Amino acid sequence: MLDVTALFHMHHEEITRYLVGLTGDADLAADAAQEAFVRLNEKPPASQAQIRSWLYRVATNFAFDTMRVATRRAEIVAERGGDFPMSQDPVPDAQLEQMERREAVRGALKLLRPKERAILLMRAQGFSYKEIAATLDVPMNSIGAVGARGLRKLSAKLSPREAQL
Amino acid sequence: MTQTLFHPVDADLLGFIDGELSGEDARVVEEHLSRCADCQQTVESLSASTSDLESFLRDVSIPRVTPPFVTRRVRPPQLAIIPKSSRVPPWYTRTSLRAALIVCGIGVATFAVTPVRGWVIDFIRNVIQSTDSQADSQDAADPPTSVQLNTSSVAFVPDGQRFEVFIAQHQREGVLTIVAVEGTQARGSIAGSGAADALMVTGGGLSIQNSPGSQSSYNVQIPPSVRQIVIRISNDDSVQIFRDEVVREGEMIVSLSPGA
Repeated sequence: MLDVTALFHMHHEEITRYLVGLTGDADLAADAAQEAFVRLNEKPPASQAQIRSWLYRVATNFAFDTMRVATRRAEIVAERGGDFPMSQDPVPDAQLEQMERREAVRGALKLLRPKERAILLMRAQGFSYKEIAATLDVPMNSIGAVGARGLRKLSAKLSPREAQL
Repeated sequence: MTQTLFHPVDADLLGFIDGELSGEDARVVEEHLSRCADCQQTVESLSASTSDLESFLRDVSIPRVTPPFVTRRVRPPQLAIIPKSSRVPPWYTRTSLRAALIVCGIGVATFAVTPVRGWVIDFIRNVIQSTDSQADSQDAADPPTSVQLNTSSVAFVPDGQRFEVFIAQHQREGVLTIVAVEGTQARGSIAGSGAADALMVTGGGLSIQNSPGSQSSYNVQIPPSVRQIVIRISNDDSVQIFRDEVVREGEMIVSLSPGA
């Protein structure tokens, strides 16, 4: 019997983080994560060996579909400077530079294509290339190239001088 | 795999960072990196961007969400398929219905096993009998009132037959209709005059409407050609007309003859 509650505690937070980075919209990220677990509860996959990848695939597809339909909403989110719910804990002055770095990453992620964002974010979440390829339905041998191109864009945005070297 | 004389492509460098290269490819890239400052810088740049991404993901604030948040969205349809008939009414409705059933049961049992039943039956019987006796006494106090045609005043004149109708005081409403019959098919006309509650002369005769307490008389003129009249009484008063003939509710055909 599938223990949805245990799987929820295990994966919900990391999937939501990934979706926030992927969509740039906290509400859409929450909806996509919820949709993944609702489907897990209603129609779980036949094989339970790759539950984590299955959840990422469902959530990613839902997010992509929604973003395609709600183009105008994405434009509004972009116009108002994104909707990343960053931590509200008091930040000492010493961490101010780190906060600015995160803001820069947030802006740089907007420059990437959706597939590039998905690959880089899943990679940052510890997925292997094989898992990323299976989850996003892309060729495995393209993961490195697409990921490197995305990182180059990020680097060019975050450290322009380093990128020129 | 790219030759050692050339720089590895970014995909190979990233694969090297991520441990996705095979053993031989990883060894070649590692050897190249030991001699190529540019590729070392590229790897550092890719690693720094990766660290930025990982840091960014760690700092995303996620609201506390518990599993019921998920299950709540799933459960409403399950609740919606519960048939209405299986819903239990509130406690006060159930208690009221039980109390009403108990009271009704006690009432029925008491009626069946005690003299109360006999009392009720006697009471109903007495009510029926008293109603019947009141109706009989009313009939006795209100005997049929005669509408009498004073035949003594009937006189025939050369131009026709004339008689006087006298309606004595009576109590019930009714209509006395006199219709002239000429031969057996055609109907002649009867003209009348005098005081009456309502006297209507129609093409075939006249109609006298009596109301309770009325007393009136009027003359009826019948053309000479008329040899029969039809007297129609709409109520149950007995009518004495033409000597001793009595008409009750219904019709009576009276033949007229000069000098009668």
